[in-house]
Amino acid sequence: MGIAFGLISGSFPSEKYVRNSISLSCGNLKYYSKFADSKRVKKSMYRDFGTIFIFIFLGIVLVYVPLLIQKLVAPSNPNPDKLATYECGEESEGSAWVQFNIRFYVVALIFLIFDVEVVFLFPWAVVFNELGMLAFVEMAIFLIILLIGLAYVWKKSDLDWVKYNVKYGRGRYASLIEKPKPVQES
Amino acid sequence: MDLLGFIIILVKVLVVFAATMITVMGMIYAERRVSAFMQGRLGPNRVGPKGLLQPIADGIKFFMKEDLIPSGADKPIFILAPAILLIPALMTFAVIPFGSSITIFGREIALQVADVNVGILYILALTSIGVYGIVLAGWSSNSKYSLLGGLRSSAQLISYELAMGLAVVSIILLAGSLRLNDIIADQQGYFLSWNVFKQPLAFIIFLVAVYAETNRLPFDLTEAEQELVGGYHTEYSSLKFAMFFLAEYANMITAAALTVTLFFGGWDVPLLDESSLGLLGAILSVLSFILKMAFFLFLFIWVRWTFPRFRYDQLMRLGWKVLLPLALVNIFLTGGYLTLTAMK
Repeated sequence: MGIAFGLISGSFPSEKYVRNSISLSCGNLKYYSKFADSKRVKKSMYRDFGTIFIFIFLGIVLVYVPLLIQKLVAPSNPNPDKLATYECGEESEGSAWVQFNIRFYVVALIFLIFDVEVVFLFPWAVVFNELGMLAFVEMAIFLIILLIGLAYVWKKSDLDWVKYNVKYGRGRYASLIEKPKPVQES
Repeated sequence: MDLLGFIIILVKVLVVFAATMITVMGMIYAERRVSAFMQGRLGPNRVGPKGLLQPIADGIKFFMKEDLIPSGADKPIFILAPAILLIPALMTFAVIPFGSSITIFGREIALQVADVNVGILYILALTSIGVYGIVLAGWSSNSKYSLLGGLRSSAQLISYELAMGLAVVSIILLAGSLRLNDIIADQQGYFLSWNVFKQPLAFIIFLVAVYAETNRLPFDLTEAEQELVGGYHTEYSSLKFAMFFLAEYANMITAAALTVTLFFGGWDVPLLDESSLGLLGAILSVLSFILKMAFFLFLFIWVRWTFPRFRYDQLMRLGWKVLLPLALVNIFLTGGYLTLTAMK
């Protein structure tokens, strides 16, 4: 979501209404001044994101300066047993970097599609009041197409953790067809 | 930009940063004390009056402990992961308005660090970056528990984030802006104008998603100490371990502040026009913001000792089969309502 939002926020500075950000009149929030002078808008944007850069800088300082100080004051005498991977006191069995079935792979793919949908919804929501009926109908069509997709994966039991209810088990769910249906837990 | 403006910005940044850190410390103390009271214990009460210095004592202890990096770990990522989690957690507070404005030296100062015009996107983007920290921490430790914890956090992300984003969309529909100040301005009035009364469904969805986002019970699957030892931070020790804790609490503070901003009118004092009261109004608005936030921080602890932990297939089912359809329905309803009222 982060990257997609980054892209979208890059295209936002030309918002139709930009409040007079030099005076920052918070007590007068309902008041908007339509800004013709985009130079001043840009300036205030630079200032706001510049402030955020100060924040990032402070955050980095806060993370790494204590780590440096700790290097100086904390003891350090490691031995192989201390550095072993924790496995409840047993000697660790092999590496954790092995391939195994994470099970939510398909859900992750569906997530990507719907995440992009949400990204499209944000600018739509901002200008909704100006576009009115047209915006609503268009987005309704867009959403319904995606909802059909959701209904499809729901029916195909791709959203389920345990895939018992596969009617037309093919491909990756083929081995599940013959199994008797277990008692569904509530 | 003039020098005075720059100094004002620096002061604001430092004040907000310090306030966040102090709140984190207060929250660590409050969590332990309140948890203890809920279980009929006393909690830490030895260090300083009523145990108030306990977080500082903890901090010093973290400093003095040996920092171990497991021999099997991927060292650069292992060191980087806490930073990836902590820095965005601290940065999110930059855009949240915590009061109306005050006038000093003849200029108006907004009580907000950066009035970014895409404030809500900024917060959503940063909170998703934090998940990378957890996944990388889990992966780089080369421990099975950590890996499972990290994977669960990605499973968690793909379950709640859509519902959360969609709940926020319905708020933006009402406000017509991504700027947090505009969202607060939209809720001004007496308190029935708060979004929680206009969008109760979105509020519930958002609140549930926030608990998943901050990895708090009932959704603390990434840690799940009974089954995964410590989850993603099993292999971390001393200061790096402390950073994960710091990040968790910083995230909770931001989440509480965001809930207040989006649904409870931000710094809005009910039945009062802050701007007409001058400095008193500004102080009242800050107080009202702190009070509302404190309630939601308390709610985090309250919920922790009230609900049992979800399994993570249950969380995925909740996210995809309950929250997501509900959030979409909510958008349809909100959009339809707005269209109908605009037509009249």
